[in-house]
Amino acid sequence: MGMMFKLALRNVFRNRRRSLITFSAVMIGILSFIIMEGITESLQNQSIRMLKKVETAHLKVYAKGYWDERNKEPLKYRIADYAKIKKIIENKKGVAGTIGRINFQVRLYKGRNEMPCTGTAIEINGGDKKVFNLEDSIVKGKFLASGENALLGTGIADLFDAKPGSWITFEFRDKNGVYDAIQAQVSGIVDTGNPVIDDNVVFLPMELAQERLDMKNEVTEIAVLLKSERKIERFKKELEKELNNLPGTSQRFDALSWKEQAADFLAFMKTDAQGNYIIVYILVVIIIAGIMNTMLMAVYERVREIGTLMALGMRKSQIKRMFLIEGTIIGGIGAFAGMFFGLLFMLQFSSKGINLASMYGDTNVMYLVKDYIYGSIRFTPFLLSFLIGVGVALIASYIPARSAAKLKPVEALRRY
Amino acid sequence: MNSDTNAGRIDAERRIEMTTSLEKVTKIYKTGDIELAALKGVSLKVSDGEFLSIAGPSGSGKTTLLNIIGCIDDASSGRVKIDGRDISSLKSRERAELRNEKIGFIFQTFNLIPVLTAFENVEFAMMLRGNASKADQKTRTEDILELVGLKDFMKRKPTELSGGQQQRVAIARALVKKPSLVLADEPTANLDSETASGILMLMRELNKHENVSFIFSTHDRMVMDFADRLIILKDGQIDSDTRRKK
Repeated sequence: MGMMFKLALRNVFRNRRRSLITFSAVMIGILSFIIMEGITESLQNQSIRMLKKVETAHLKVYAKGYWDERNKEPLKYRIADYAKIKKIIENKKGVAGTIGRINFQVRLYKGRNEMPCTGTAIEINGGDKKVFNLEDSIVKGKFLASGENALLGTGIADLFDAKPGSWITFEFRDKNGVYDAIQAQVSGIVDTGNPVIDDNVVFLPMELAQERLDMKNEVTEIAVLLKSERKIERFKKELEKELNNLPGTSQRFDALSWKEQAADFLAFMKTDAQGNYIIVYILVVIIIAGIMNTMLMAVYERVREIGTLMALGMRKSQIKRMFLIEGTIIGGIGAFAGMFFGLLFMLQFSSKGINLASMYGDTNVMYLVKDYIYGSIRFTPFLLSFLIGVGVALIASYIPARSAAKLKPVEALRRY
Repeated sequence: MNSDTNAGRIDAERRIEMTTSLEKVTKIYKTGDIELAALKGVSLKVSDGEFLSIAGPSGSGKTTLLNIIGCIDDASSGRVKIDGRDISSLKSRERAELRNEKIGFIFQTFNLIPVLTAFENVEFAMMLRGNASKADQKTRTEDILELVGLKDFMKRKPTELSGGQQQRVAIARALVKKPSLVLADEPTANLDSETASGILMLMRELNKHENVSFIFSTHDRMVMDFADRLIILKDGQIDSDTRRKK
């Protein structure tokens, strides 16, 4: 095996230019895979982190029926005894924080502009921070204070040309269907990177909303942050069971994990990732074609040599193995080079990040990220890259290796 | 095996006595509807340790005959026996093993592996034989290269060697695995007469020293004169078979 490997290795470097081109093809393929995988993974991880941080938490508890009707009549399905339910959840083992929110439909007015959007009432004075992290997303102005003030997403702020200090009118119906309006001053602008929020949500203080919506001690959802996400499904089932068997109340509840809340977004991410990998599949085909071409050329050029080796007593299986080793060496060297440059990229990506704005400009990338994304160096994609490189090389060399082994020694020796 | 013995000389070791016999061997090449008989009922017996030359003009069937004896081509009819085994019934793998164990080849164009050094070319043949330890392979390779006068050229690649030196490496490669029979197809055709003479003397010496049968094809008178036995082929048939005592 040692001698066979030595022979295969020397043969690989026999035609340096051709081998270099093939190495490069493999390297570019592997590098593309690592970059693509790294960026996709980072976009998805960062999006999911952002999603949990500003929108879904780990899970949310709703009054039964809310989730299906949330876009039509959100206030019809309310958690009636907010304080009690919150306390029950808070006291459960593994809970890091809980907080209630009210989602309702509002119509915004500023000057001649108007638009429908979602109003979200949140606890101020640190309450919302137990679960969410909206404050970190404030790009202008400051967080909510008590009284008639609001936080706007960047999308809405741009549309209304609103700045901190601007006045905006909110028109809405309370839980009884009675029309009401609030004139509130913009306290700050938030840029969460999540277009669902930035283009569609205005945040108001809970106290103000509960009073004007006639929802004292009522919310539409209770968000829950867990200490560990590992047993989220079990926790969710137990919580649902407990809340739905509370004595003294006929109210029923649904608990939805972040995955269930964000099912559409997760499906989009999956589809988008598959779309990204199509490029990698195309590269793999190019690599296969490159290696196969190189190996076929190698076989064609060395027919006489193959005949000599057969005359020396080399078996067909050994001839085949020799060419498979050659192909694997090409794939392996290309894969290692790709992994090396991939590692350099990932080191840079994880420390300095990539400015998405500079990559995509103003185009909405659909992911819940803004400005910079940062990669993380993981072992799996590198292992996968190596396996792809070597695996693809083996597949690509199989046909040339087989054709070499099929040669008849006497015919091969006759070839000049 | 004692390494001292190896270092000093190569013994003619115990080998299975081998006789090669051909009975009414024919070889017909077909090109479309045209059939060309390269061998027409050749019968021949080669005993162990013979130094035999097959001569004849181009197209007389010399190379075809060597290829059939060397198990790298099939006869169209007739029987070929090597060491008592009918090779026509052997599978590809068994033929490869037979070539590996018992037959050495020397080619007109040397056919060395260009990416390997002289030492590695010889060692590789021994590695294929697969019956010796790494240390024995090394010792045997060094000894045989010394025997063919290439002690100082072991690390050179074929392109760094003269034609005569390359053929010496090819001879060493053919002999390193201690075959019973060495087939050489016009081994001196690409060499000048002085080098050719040196190569023939070396082959002759090894034939005696290693007790290996040599069958070589040629159309060179000087080469024919070196042989103990001269077979002249003409139009695919044996025209004459002469034994000469040297």
